[in-house]
Amino acid sequence: MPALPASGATPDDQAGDTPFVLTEAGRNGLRVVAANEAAHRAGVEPGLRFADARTRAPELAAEPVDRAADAQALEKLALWMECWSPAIAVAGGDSILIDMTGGAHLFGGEDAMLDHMEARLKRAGLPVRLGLAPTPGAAWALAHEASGTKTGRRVDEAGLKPGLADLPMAGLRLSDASLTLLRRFGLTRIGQLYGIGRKALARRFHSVSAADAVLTRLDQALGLRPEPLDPLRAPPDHSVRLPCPEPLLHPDGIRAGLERLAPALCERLEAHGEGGRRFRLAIFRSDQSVAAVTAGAARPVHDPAHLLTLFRDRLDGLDPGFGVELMELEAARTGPVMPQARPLDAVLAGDGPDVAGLAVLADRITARLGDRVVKILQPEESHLPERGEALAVYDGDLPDWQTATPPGPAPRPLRLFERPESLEVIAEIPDGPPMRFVWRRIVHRVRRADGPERIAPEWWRAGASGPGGRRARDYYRVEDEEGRRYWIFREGLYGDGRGGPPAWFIHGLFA
Amino acid sequence: MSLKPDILAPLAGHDLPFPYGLGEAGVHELAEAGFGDFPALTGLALAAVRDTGRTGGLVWIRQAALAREHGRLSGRGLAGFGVDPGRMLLVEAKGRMEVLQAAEEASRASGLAAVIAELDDMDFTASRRLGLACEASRTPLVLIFPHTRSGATAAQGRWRVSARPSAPHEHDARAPGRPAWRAILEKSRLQPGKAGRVFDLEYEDATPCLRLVSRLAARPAAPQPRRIGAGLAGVWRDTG
Repeated sequence: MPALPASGATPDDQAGDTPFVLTEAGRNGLRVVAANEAAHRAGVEPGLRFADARTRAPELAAEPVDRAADAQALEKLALWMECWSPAIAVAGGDSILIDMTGGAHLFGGEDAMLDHMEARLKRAGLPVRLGLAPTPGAAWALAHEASGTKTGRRVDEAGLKPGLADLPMAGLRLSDASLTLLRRFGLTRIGQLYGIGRKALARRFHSVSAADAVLTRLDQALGLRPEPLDPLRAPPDHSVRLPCPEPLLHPDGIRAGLERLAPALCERLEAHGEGGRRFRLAIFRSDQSVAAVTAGAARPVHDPAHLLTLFRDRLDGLDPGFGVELMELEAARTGPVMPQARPLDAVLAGDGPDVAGLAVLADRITARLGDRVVKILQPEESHLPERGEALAVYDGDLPDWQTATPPGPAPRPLRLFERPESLEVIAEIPDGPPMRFVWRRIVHRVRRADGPERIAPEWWRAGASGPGGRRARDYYRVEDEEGRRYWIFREGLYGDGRGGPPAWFIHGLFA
Repeated sequence: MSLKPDILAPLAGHDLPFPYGLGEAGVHELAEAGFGDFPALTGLALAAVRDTGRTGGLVWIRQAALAREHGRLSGRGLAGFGVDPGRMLLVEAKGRMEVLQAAEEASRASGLAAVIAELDDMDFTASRRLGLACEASRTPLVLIFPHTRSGATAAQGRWRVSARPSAPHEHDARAPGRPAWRAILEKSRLQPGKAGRVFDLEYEDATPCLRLVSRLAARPAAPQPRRIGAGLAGVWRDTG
């Protein structure tokens, strides 16, 4: 598990021969938070006051630190490192942890792997220190503190304890307060902690939790306590990769690559009897950046041709940049692929939609228009018209309206407004149907009216307010002189004691 | 190359009954006669599609701006109209281009009862393209336009539809009766001679129990000129 401190700055500034530091304003003025090799040689260390640093290295260049940008750059780099292993985590502000378990033989051994990584990152202008150890804690210690000690950059299971013994205490990822305290006891090397009784150590600290933190870090480094990696992205269910011998420079190359990856992934899915509903195509560029596009399917699929359709219009968003070194196609949200059986009576009657066919069609439309555009009308258990049904995103299942509660004998309009629109109304009698109403500045004279159909408010709903919140509605079906039919309602009654005079709204349009 | 799609070949020359292939395979246009007739279009499109008796899924594509103006489809309203909302996919497209893309994609799929799309306008090329997409799959595509729609089209026909005052309700003279519309056949490739004729239509309101009867009812072998599809579903009066 190599940890890579890429102390935050642009690579160009880091690599040069001029001493360069990043500074941050603290309580006592500017302090150095990171220094490059040249600055280190001049004796400038992080934590030094900027004024002191300048006396040690008069030609020192400095820039204020931008921690947010650093974190972003580090995460971007970590994502690119997925070309080495799927389990990557960012640790602290300057390190990346990679779980390389079982991956070293691909590079020809652990040393060869570290050399490859170092060379690859150095070539990109990133000064890195690598550490490889059986635990994340030990790897971190090696990467940060091993330079200049006789423990190399790599320890194995047996060499873990003796290897760490020589390293400075800072390698344990402790807080500054703990480090200071330990230094006062004369404890500066990790190995000095091995012989001290745990209870004895705990007594030296102000609090149990502070002592616990030290012991936890020690145990984690030695592998006595588990420290799971918190990966940036969840590892995919299935993935296939296509390394490119020469960096791909043309978008057509990506398309061709996908045409080779899709059958490979589908073969693997099919072998598991599964299909994916979410697919991600990632390209790893030679400039340490990653670009990815995703595509979704309504039902689990493992058909290469369908997979290519899903990505057809999305590949344009992938810019090969300076060249693509590796392509990866992942399947997530996998599930069993089974042909949906249609109810027997529907099959016999030759009735009912072809569910699988609709799902394929929905995917094709989604691939062209974007996610979440294909919807279904879902019946809901509510007698309020706007809550009685919902527009839901189609996810492969059609709603069942056969068992939905019918609203009652009164007809419902074919078109419904999401929000009832306000009307100005003249009614013959206060509680009767309107004679005339103004909707969108046009006066409609009512020729025929049917109603009212009373729909009571859902008083049990917390925070019921606005139209339909607390007052009953009286719905009327009215037709104007031109023969257009509207569904309008009066909210409340005169003197119902729930607010001012009743208000009128239009809620739907009849055919 | 003739602009007339081959799909029309088997039908051309025959004296078709009303509604001249509306709702059958091919592209059909319905346009508002005036602002506010959109619900009438919705009703006529659904009635025509329903009465062809085609089974399978129904795809409804809508353009965001029109949906804001005229509301969205209501599931319970559809159920009351005799269309099962459970077999319908709704596609929410933002602009005209997206509607056309989705309509083309859906028209290529076979096994659909119909595709219905609401959009503000389209040019001749787009209509031709949609016609070609429908040709192979024989999927009906009904396009619904606002009253501003005009110009050339490669569709099989264009109907200009408006709402019409209904007859009094049979049980309550003060209540609105069955939905009534007026449809003018503005253009027709199948029956060019019938262009310009006016039809006063009345849709027999299908209650849930009637819907069941109509579904089981056998289609008449030779449709009578003044009725379409399943007998109980609709009564069409030609007063042109």
